[in-house]
Amino acid sequence: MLRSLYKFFSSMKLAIVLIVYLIGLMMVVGIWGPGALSPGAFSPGAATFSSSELNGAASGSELGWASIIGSLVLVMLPVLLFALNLGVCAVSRIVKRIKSGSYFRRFGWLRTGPDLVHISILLFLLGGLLSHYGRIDGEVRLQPGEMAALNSAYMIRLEDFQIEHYESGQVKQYISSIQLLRRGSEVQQAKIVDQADITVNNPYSLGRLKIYQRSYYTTEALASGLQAVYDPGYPAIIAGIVFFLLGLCFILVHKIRTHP
Amino acid sequence: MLATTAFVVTVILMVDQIIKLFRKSEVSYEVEQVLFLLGGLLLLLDFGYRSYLLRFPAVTNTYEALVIFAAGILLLLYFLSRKVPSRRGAGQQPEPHTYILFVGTVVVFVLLALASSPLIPDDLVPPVPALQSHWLVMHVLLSFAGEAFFVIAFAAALVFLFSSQEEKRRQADRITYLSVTVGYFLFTVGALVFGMIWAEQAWGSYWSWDPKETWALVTWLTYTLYLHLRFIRGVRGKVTALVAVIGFILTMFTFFGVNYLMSGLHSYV
Repeated sequence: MLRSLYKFFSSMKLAIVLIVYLIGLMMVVGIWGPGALSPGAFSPGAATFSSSELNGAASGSELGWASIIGSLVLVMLPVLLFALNLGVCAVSRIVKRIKSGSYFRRFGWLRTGPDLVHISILLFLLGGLLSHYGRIDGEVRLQPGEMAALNSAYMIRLEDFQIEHYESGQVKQYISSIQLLRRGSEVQQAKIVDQADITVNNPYSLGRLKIYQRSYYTTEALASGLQAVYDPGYPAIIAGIVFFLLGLCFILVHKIRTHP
Repeated sequence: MLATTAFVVTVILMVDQIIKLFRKSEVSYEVEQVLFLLGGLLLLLDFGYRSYLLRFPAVTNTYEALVIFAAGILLLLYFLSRKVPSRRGAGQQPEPHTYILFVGTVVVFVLLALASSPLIPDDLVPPVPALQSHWLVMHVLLSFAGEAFFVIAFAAALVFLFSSQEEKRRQADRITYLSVTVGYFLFTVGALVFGMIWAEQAWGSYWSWDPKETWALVTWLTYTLYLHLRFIRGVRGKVTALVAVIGFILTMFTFFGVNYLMSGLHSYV
């Protein structure tokens, strides 16, 4: 029974079938999926959110799409099968090569390339799972001088918000100058512990929390839209990226060495 | 002006190759080698000049993407033309690489025809805040570098599918495999890895199921399928060549189709 299961999950043909299925699934997602986070975040007059405490809200799925993502039959089961197939193939391959000693020959370490790539994909799947169920983000709209609570320990105050323009008048950059305050027992006792400028592509990091320049508002008065994100999947994704890049390099170098 | 000149060079290349494909007397391809290099350098110059004017690498709209993509393909065609015999004897049939170079030239012709047309504005527009990122620049450059190899793979796969001679099929299959291998590496790093890093920095999420991201994943999965199909006995050959052709079609759809049929975060290129 175990042997049959092993044979099934270590099959390259199963991998091919699952990859073909995932291609089809991704095509459906690409046409009818949730699409992007709203690019309208940089349009003036966007929706107003509470400027008090940032609300943690699970994100990742939109209404309607959540039913498909959560669908056991169409998505979860094939992805689980894919992860199992990949995991069993990866382990099987590693064990075979350790037993045959091929990793320990001269430049044998280059043969770990495919293994690193396979492990990285498992890390991406893990990171995706953690992100999907554990990601918390919240957005605030702040005018200069206003504060928002990040968590029980910290608050941010928007000191200044500037919009830089090119000579043509087109927007060049949105700059939110913030102060990070550590809370005291009273609001007035909050202490400034850091200052930073947040721009697009240059978020502010506070431990595992990151604050992004997300939007701007010009109704009533100029205000900045900041988004705070906590994503438990990031470490797995970063590890996956490292393994992926290393693995691809090893594969390429190995191919060049063995097939000049 | 530079891109238009490169387009004219491509037209000359294409016409010249068509004539030589049907010529029975001895032909030399040395002129083509020079024209491949000239076309590629002209486009690189255009990229460099626009980057200088913008004070930022010129990779942030469709016109600039077409230019850099065409430049990559032309330079790849140049290197390929240097690796193969530059003469064909009288009465000899063209080798697979001749057809590969021709198909590659046709692809460049289509890209530059689009870039030269009123459909694709070539205005110098400085990058919006979301595009001001080194990760974005690397994402675009490496993606197109990878896709340039996919063009060669596509051309070689077509040669395989339309050839009846075993030796020519073997050569075409080898070029397809080599091109997909290198292209896969560059595309994975550029499109997926650097794309994810840029997305996280710009929008706070490394993956948003944006149509461009999703179709890039479809393309990547297709080439992953190609590489894994080669491990299955009896499948290598026609099936893998077909997958390489489909992969290229998906690459082009990811580039063009998504831009004009769907909207999303990637509504720049």
